[in-house]
Amino acid sequence: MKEKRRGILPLLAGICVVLFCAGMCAGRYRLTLRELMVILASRFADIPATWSQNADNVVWAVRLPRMCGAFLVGAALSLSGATYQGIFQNPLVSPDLLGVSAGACVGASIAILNGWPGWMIQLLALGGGLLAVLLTNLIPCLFRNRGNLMLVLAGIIVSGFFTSAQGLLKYVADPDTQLALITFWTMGSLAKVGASDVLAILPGMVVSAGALLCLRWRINLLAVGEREAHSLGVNISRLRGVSILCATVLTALSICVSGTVGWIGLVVPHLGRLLVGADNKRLFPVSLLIGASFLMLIDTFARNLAGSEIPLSILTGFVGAPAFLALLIAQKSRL
Amino acid sequence: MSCCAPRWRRRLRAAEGGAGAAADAVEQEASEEAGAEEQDAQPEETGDAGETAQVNEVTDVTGRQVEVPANASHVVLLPGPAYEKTMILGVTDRVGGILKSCRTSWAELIHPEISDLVIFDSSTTPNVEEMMSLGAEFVICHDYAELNAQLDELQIPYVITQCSGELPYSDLEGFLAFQKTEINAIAEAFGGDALERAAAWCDYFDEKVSYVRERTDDLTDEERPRVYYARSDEGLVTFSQNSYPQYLVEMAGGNYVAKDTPEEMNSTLTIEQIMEWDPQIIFMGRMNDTSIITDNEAWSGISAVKEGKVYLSPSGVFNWDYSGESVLLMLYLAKNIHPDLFEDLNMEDEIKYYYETFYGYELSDENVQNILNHMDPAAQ
Amino acid sequence: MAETILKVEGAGFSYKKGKPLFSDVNFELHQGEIFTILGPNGAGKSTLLSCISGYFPLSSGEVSVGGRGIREYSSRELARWIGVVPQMQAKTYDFSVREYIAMGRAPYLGFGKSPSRTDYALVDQVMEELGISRLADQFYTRISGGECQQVLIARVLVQQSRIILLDEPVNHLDYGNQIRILRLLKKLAGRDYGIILTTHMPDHALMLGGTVAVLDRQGRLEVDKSGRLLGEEYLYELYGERICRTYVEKAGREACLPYPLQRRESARQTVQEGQGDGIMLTDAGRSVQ
Repeated sequence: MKEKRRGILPLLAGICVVLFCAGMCAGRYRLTLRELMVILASRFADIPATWSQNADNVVWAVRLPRMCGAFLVGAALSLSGATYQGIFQNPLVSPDLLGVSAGACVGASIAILNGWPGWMIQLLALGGGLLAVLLTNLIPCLFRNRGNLMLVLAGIIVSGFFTSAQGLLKYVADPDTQLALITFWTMGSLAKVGASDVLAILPGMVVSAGALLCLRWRINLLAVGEREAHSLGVNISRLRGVSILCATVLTALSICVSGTVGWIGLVVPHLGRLLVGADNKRLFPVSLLIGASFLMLIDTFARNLAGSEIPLSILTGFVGAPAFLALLIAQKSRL
Repeated sequence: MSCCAPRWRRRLRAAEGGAGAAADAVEQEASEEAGAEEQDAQPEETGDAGETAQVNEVTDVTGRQVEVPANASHVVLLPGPAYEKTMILGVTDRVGGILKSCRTSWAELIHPEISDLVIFDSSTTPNVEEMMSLGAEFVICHDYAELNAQLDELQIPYVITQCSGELPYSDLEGFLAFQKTEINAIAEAFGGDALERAAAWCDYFDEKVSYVRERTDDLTDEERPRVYYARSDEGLVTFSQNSYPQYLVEMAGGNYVAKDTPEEMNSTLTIEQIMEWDPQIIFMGRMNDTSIITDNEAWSGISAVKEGKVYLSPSGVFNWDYSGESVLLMLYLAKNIHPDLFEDLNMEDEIKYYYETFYGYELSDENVQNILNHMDPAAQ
Repeated sequence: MAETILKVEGAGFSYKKGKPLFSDVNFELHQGEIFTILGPNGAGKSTLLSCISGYFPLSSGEVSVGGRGIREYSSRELARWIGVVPQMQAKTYDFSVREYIAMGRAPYLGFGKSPSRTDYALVDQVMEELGISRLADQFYTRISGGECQQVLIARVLVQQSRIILLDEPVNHLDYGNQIRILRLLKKLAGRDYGIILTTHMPDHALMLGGTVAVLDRQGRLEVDKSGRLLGEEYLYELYGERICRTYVEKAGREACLPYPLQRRESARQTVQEGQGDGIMLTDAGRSVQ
């Protein structure tokens, strides 16, 4: 059992690479594998260009950034999901359920409506996300009840509120320019991810994900309960604060490039736990890889199934909801 | 333009002159006249208001026969391109409420009183109580089944002038006929001079369509450049099959690349699909900034971008790609797709002429430039 | 006298708007000492332990370890002094037993660090000592109550704190496991750990030896100096039930035992009579095996 599990990380990494390559090959623009390889190699070797500029752009300006975007967003959402589930000792929470997604969306929408620049959109998305997670966290304190159900209810209240705020912003938005942009935020899409978007979110994501990976063993300590964590010498408010901040940065930055993509943050950590157990030391890297693979796969479908784009949340929902049910059955989970 | 006044001019003049002798003069020219009876009936109507309220009979774009009160003065307009029609028909003073998007800066410039009208936020689910308190005598709307059922229940007559879902046409001839049916249906509902004005507009429309088609109909496939018409949202949303821009581009002598994309109005495309089409000319509707496309690396290999053929689509009283002004868009597209075939066409003059003839408004040169650049009247 | 490692002086605690749960609590704990706190439900025994571990701040007074107030320590430093075996509670996640025990190394690991090989070697060694190596790869959510208590103790041993606080460590355990855990605690005291535990069983206090204290409903902690607290009179006062305190010859120790459930007027008499006979009867008027 233990031996079998050892190989899981390299296996997942392998799947990730395969899906990345498959995604690079698939698209509405016809490109043979050979052309793809040559175009990729051309940036590193001196190969006379025999292909059109469009072909070059498909590889370098469209598919590569988009696959990187899918990788980053999938990885970020599942990692933040695993983090939230750990620090709230609650396997039912996720960036969506805690209201983080909705909050970040509202923040970003406000920035869009005011025509503010990209970095302000990111900042406001982060602010909205943090505000939401703070409120969700405060409501159970109000009732002196930190149970699973209370936190989930608080999440429903907060995300419900922010969803309405989002609705209001949609209502006042210009139907032709801003509305499309805001609608995209609520449904999730990687259609517009360019190299500059990926580069813009990369530093924040790497720092936050790196911090969470460093802290992943320590987050185990929060996962067994606050009182026990305290007796083990954990500075709870600091650890929790840093973790929430990092997880929220990951979610908010994801939302900045892809809008809200549901289900990943909830389902992927469960799948990871089924594979390697609850220990975050292994769960975090495994969730990260599964999430990245999953979204790369979903996004490849989203841009290939039809001539037009299919919003990501539609696909993740169709896959995620039944998968979650199957996982619950597999885990015989007592929730 | 031509030496003698065109037909639509004469008709407009006749309409302005009242339903007198001038009307008789035009009558010969009018081939189908349904509104003639009403016109005759109109003078009597003022005499006996009360029991036998006067009605206008309307055949709307779906072929429904509707009776609406004549001389209505609180009409509610729910389709986007409806207020613009009332401007052409000279009945804006009889409008009581409009869809939010009707209130464009150009409509406001020509009819400042538009800001006093009741605004409805949705064409699918408007606030019907607001409609009732406004005392709407009838409503111009889409064929949304739920809204129609609701209006039936409230016994508010409605005239359908736009269709969602299943369109009543599927080819160019159908599209052209629809344009005229639409304005005629609205004219029938308002009655009186509106009918003459609608007829005048239809004449103008027919003439411009044949003007363009005479020169483009015989173009071979090779002579028709691939044209992509972006609707909004960073250029990835387009009008697809059976849309206004498809027919306008095809008339203007272009090959509309999105013609096989199924969704009717809003279709979000992948950039790869657009690269695969590799359009030679791009028009950007509902945006006033070509750099959205020209500065985006992903678009840089597309022929239209490489050859500098990315154009804005102008916008006036309503979006040119979804209104009566689409006749101007057709001219604009033709001029940009085939400049050699339309050397004699002067867009600035055409716009001024259209605004003066149908809206009675004299545009300044600056106004015309702003329209062409998809800007507000106030823009510098 | 062994070194004093923990001192509680004038400790009092009250929830925000309530009356004080306990006040003016004073006692000392020495190296190798077992300090057993008895008291009725709701008297605040668990809260007192939480205050000693620094989880709840005292409303008044001070707890000091190694001669310094616990507030002067960082939470990590304090965890190297005081380890806690909490009451068993619902667990959310399936950690393996080995991983769970390794959490005890937290006070020795930096903010971004996880346990090293040496840490796991210590974990394995402690599991070996407690005879629970076979549980290493099982989920700690799926082991029995007795095993779970051993795992919790293993974790606190891995934590290498000099003081161990246990909140009702034998609650919910079957009889055999209760005795095994008590034996383990006695053994740990022999290895110079200072142990504070709460229990509902005066008899356990007797078995463990060491110091006994009672936290009563008035929130006073009385430390037994004269042996009065485990006397029959006081136990009656404390629990409202007559309890027999006697030496059980066969067991070879002092014991606290309840009387038969259906009290007879003659109970005491029977005892008197029985003493002469060959039948093994205790003061409680029932036979003891």
